[in-house]
Amino acid sequence: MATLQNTSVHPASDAATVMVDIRHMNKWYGEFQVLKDINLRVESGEKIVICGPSGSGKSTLIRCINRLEEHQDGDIIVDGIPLTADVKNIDQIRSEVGMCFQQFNLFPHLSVMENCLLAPMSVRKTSRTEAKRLAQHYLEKVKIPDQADKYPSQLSGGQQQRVAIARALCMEPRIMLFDEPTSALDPEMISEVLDTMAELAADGMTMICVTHEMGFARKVADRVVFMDLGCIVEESDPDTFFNNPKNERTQKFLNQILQH
Amino acid sequence: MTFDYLAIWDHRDILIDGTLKTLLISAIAIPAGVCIGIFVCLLRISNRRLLRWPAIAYIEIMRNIPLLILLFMVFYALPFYGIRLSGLTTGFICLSVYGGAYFAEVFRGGVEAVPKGQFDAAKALGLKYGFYMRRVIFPQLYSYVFPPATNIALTLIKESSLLSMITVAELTYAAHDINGRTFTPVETFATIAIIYWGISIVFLNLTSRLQSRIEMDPVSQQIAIR
Amino acid sequence: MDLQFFEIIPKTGPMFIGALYTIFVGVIACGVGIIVGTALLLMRNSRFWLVRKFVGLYGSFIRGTPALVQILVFYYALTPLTGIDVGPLTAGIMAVGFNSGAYVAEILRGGLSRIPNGQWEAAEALGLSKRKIWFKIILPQVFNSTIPLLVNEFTMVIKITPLLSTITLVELTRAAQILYTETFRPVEVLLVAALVYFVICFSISQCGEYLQRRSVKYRL
Repeated sequence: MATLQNTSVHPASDAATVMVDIRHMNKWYGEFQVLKDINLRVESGEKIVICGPSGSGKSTLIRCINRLEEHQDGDIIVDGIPLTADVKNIDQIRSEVGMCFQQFNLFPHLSVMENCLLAPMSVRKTSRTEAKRLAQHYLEKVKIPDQADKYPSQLSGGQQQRVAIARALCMEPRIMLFDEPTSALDPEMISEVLDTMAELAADGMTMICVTHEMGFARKVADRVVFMDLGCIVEESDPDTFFNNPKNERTQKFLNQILQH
Repeated sequence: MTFDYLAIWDHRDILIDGTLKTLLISAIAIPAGVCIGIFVCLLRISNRRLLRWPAIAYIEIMRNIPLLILLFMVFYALPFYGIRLSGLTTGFICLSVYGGAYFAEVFRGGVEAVPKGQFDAAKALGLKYGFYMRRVIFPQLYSYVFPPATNIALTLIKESSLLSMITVAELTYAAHDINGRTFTPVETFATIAIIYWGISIVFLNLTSRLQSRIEMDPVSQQIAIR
Repeated sequence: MDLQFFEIIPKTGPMFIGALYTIFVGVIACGVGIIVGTALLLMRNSRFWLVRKFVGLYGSFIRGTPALVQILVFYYALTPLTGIDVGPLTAGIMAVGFNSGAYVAEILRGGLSRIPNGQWEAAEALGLSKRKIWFKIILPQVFNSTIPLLVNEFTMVIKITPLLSTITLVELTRAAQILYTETFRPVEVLLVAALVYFVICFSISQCGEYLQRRSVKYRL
């Protein structure tokens, strides 16, 4: 079985490298503080699930990791590279970090294959043949190799999201961020995307997922992080988190979300 | 009331010259306006205040003063600073600059109509600004901006009639000329109205054909379906 | 840059009178425009093909010919046609008003298309007459939703008024021309004129935004 070419084992060091190190991070939107003293360490190969009510800042948090949002205070270090206003650092970090969005954000005017070729050819200057090979490989990985010439609008939501995952993987990132990847999908398509993500996890990818899919969290996550009102309220392994949450707010949230 | 069209027919060469002048002016001012519009639009949507505010000022000025005042300022006031431009050059510059502000707003509307997620995805993939504006954003803009942009272009064709007031020998000036010789204001002005009408009908026809061609293009259809 | 505003300030009286003239003409012409535009909108739904065709041609003509030419045609043709001695003021207001009317009709048409069918159905189910439905239900909503575009059209009307200087109306631009030929200071005079236009148009759009904000609660 072909393993994904990347990520968890840094050639020059041992297996436990810190991929994402966030220290005392604070972020404001004008007067309103949306992230408060965030501290989070993600080791190589770890799968983190972040959950919480809407407005808790969880999407903002992961968007800060690849600088789609800027933090005003504190440090974020991604794979040893400090995340600052320095464009070189940002570019380097973005080529190591892949992201999937709730709305997929595939480029509608390009075919599936072209969506996957665009970044490697433009950013890494990969040749077209090599990029095609990569694209073909990852499209097979997400189980839609035959749709390469279709356009996003011709695919179902689940298929589009899987293409989005393949597109991000074509940049051979070391970390994958997922921002509620299944929230915009019809229920019958959620599992095909979650299965793809679980496979990715099993192959050793470092992942940070914001999601409401607790079944996925229970099965795949190494750690579950609960956020509320901009703070990390609780952080523990899935067992403890779901069965013995330490914090009252966590318990309340779990009661609400596990109703159905 | 009698219509003395013979008088006009006798001077048809003046009319033809005027029409050609009008078309020439439009053919140059419109693309120039589009270029200015693209440039100003990029400034307008920039994150840097230093770039954005001049663009906003420029757009607001052009949208709130009449073109005629602008023409008079360039034609009659600039000579006091040693810059004496011909009526034609003044016309080109003013029409392009005036139109540019309107084009800029239309393009900005188009950029804002593109879902924010497209920018997010492009940035997350590590694509550079120039690259993703060209390859991801612009192709999606096209179907949004084409109709309003053609309206602006048509407006510029019509506004060219103002150049008659700074001695440019375009169609309206030709009418004044013929009227001065034949004293048939109703017939002359009605005739040029018909000519302008004809120009606008042909222009709209061409652009709507172009519009359909764009809509038939598979790329645009993908965007439209979304 | 030898700007001598002080020289011209005392003489700007006529210019401000011109500005008032501009606003006066603008407001009346806009009023005419709204009436004409609404009439055209209602005529578009007429049973008679001729009426509908007329509306189409009218719109095509007005939107396809320069305002300057329309003003000139109006001015020279109105007196012989009607036999009444129509002065430049009336002819000018009519020309600008009828011009604006075509654009207002387009704006209203767009607004009309956005009214959900359900509004018509509910009104008919309640047994209201066609006239009542138009004037009490539909048109208010159309105007409400098109405020920004109508305000923009008002600005356009103000920007057309300088063209009335060609038919001897002494509005702001003509007053400015007179002043700078007299004082040989076109820079200062035209800058003042430009500023006045800017202030007028900008204030109009600010009012428009205020109205727009207040109108939000009347919409779905």
